[in-house]
Amino acid sequence: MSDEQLTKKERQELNRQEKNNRKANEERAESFKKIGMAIGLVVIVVGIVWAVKASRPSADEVIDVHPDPIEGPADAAIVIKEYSDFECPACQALHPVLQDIRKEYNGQVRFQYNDFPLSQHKYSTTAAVGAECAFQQDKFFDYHDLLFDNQETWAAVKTKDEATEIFRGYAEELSLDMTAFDSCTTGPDAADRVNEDYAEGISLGVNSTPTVFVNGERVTEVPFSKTIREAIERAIGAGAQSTVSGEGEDDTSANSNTSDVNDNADAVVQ
Amino acid sequence: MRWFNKIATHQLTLLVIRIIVGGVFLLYGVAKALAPLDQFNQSILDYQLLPEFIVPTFAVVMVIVEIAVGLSLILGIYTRYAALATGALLIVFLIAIGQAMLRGLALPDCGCSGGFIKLGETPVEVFVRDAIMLVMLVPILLKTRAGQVAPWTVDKWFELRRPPKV
Repeated sequence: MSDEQLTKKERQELNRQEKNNRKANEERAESFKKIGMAIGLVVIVVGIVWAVKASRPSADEVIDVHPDPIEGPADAAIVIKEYSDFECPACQALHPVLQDIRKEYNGQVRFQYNDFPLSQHKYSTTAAVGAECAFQQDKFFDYHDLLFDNQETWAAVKTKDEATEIFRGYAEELSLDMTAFDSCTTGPDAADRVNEDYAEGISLGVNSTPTVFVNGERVTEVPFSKTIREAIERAIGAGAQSTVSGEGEDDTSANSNTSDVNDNADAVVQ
Repeated sequence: MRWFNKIATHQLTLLVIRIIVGGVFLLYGVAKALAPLDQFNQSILDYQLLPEFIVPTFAVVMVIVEIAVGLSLILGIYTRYAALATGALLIVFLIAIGQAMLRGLALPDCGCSGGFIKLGETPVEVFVRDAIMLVMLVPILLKTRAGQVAPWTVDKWFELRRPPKV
């Protein structure tokens, strides 16, 4: 009798345990599903974003929407495209390096400046607008040099008005037509150009300044004095090889690269 | 106050709150992911709270957490925990912006969208916006007290699928 009672109790206990187990299992399965759902969705969203980011056209696929300031022969085999911010110290540091490189490869390279003003810099957009307006009077590179050479001065001022006054001063220094300069800086066109440059940079996946493209090849590694020269040498090598043989996978891709950039060059010159 | 409670915890109110707050987190998370990461890094540095070496990792984690929290809140996957996490994030944001305002730090951009969208909000506006979102979470937390499940959520769907208790 007591045996039977015990087994009955045991049976009840067992039943309860089984029930609890089943419940725990169900709950576990439910949390797995829910957490899995959340993780899955996050992975999908991040994946889509990453794919969108990665599918952006590469440097040689984008054709400029408007002429950019250019230095060097229009038919140069090497095109250096810089995305830069006048207020960024690293861009200032790159400035003399690029000047040296342009001198060194004089006649072989074409240098193209693009604005990429970062939002954390207070006056870089205003500076870029000023430079665009100097560009309209064919004084872009002089103005660009002044901005970089005096970056510490104008970047340190307290208000935008002071900065604007300094930028006006540079235009006067270069004896620009001040009426045209003023109407340009206050009008929407120059700002639109700066924004277009920025959008173009974003579409190329530019995410830091300075970003340099040598014939479409993105150069981000420092020291730039070394890496840009290496990229130029590679581009020259690829050009020479493709004219000699015109065969092989590497050669053809390098070839198409160059021709694409040349297409860009035409678009820019027009 | 009963009418207030009724409106605040009405199923439509809860849904709208989840979509608004969750949507803001999801959109800003995606915007940060699409924008150049350097800009978001710089925005974090501008708050002068974190050492530089940790910022790039923090930025990536932040983007993923915001997307995850936003999605969970909108769909109602562990709604209560999603709301708690969102609240915690908002408190962190409020502290970050508050201390920046008190210290008089220049914040050219709040970093909310990682520079993807430039709304040009002042720090005060961002602070108010975050505070409003924090208050908006209260009804969700009220409703989901003591194991209750908010309506129109994945949580609710799972609850309905559970075999009835014997």
